[in-house]
Amino acid sequence: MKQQAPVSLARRVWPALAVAGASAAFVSALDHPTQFVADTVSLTGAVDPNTPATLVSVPAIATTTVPPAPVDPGAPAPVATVPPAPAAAPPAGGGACGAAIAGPVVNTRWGPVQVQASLTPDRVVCDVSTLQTPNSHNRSVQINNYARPILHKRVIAAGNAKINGVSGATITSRGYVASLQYILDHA
Amino acid sequence: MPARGPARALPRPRPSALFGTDIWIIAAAYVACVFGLWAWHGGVTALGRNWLDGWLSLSQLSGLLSSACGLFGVVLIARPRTLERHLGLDKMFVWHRYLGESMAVLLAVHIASAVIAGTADGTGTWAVIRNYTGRQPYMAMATVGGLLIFVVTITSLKSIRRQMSYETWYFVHLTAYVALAISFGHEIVLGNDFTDDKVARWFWVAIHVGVLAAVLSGRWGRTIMSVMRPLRVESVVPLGADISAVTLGGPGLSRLEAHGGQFCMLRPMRLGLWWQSHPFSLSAAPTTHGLRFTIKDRGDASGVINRLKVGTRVAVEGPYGVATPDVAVGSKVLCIVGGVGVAPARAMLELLTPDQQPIVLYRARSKEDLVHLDEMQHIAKKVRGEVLTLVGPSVSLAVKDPFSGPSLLRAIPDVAERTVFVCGPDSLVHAARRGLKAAGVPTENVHFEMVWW
Repeated sequence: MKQQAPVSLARRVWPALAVAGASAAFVSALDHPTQFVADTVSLTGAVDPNTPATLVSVPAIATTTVPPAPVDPGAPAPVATVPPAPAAAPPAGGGACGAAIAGPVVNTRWGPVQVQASLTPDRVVCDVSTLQTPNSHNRSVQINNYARPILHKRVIAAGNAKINGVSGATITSRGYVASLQYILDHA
Repeated sequence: MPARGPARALPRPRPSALFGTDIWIIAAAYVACVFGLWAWHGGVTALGRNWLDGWLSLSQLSGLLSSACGLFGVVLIARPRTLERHLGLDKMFVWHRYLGESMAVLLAVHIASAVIAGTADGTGTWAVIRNYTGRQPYMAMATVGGLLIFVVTITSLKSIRRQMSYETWYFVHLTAYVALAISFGHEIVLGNDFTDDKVARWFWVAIHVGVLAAVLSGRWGRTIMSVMRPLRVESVVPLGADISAVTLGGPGLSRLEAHGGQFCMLRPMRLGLWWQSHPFSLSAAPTTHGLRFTIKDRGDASGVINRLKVGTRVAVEGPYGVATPDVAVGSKVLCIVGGVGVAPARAMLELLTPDQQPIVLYRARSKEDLVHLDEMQHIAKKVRGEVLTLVGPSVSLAVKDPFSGPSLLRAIPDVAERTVFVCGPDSLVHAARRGLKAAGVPTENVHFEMVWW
């Protein structure tokens, strides 16, 4: 009769403990949630079919990376970056900022987006703000509260609508750019 | 041994009053709720709208369904008493396997479609993966939860499962609970169906709390109960080189309901063994004098259990199983058993009546393996039954394939009228089920216990 030596618990349980330990390590290594990431996304992808037809003709938006808005919040003149237009004259510090013009309402999948912008005589955007962003979902509000200042910073830095969108807020970014571009095209 | 009165049968497990076929209605209703949730939030129209919305919607649906499979799988494994009485534990395990596999497939669809949707706006695949594996809230946990589900599924594939000892596999399998728990966060915080719909969110939370309660009471509660009121080994009778009959008894018996044909999970409360429990069939009608199990040394803990010292405490979970004389009331009976699979047939034989004319077809490798043969022949005489034996390696048998339809019909002409119980190694169970089908026994009259480890 052979005598069985009982197998030790440790020998049976270590693979499971190893899996569990690796899981804990993975979570702590991977988990660094930035509420919504300040990455840029290109907006040249699929055009939202909900965008009104008049706005679908918005010219393809440049995908070249814009320097990530090195605007010093303390700087008095926000229009510090030279706009990409070759002939653009450096806006004088006193470059008159025109009256705010309301853009069209762009209906996106999550709701309407509308911006208003002020242009200098050289048609450089010197101020922009949103009149409405999607707010029917709690999450949209969260996302937009986060995305609005970033979009604002990028537009002021670029002086036009050729900006990259905010990752995690692609839909809003698209509507934002479309509404702004309309102002630039028609003002 | 304490003096005691004559043996009285233990009360039989009562059939479930709560669940019957209605469990399928409940399951269907839940799946309908999940589909409804998805459709209510615009899932159906989104599916055809455009590339981005379509993939998002598919990802949502597959995620919801994957979760439903996971939760059902956990409920089955918590083996609620009412459900077990209706389905039988072995069938619940089979369903658990199907649900687990479906969950893994749906999870793969969920992940793939979420990544495709994420790249739809031009974001690079790598950036999307980084967003989904940690930059978005709760996604690191969800990622690891998903990986755990895949680990658990892969280790349960039969070919891989065979390479591991039962306990190693079991402990790895337990991480599935962790996986479900840590995936919950991303469902509630990021799931489109829950972020903006308060009712849906509470529904979801309530379902999860309910499942948690089922697991705590069904799985843990039962184990704690069995450990708190253990039985004791009353006798160990060796029946052969590696096989013994172990009788358990003691005051703990009074809480049990049991019937011949059922099995229990035994956990010897001894150093080095307390952390494992193994299933064994009752091999005698359960009475107030004790539960008898016939245990063969299969090279694992069973080799220790069948040599336990008298007086050792053993925690008993169960009994489980629905293949009892209750399903054969008023019908003639045939038991096809192989090797130590004789145990449930031996227990059942005692509980049958002469009008059931039981026949036991007993297959064994050698004469020494024919345990309980004398006992059974003795009982068979009382119930107008018969024990037919088939001994030796397959090649030495007079009949080439003893379990083929024609052979069964020749040996037992009225086989088609009988309720049949099959218990034994996988190969025997499969051969017998095939043969019985060929001999014209309706499938619903064939009862078998799957040996799942």
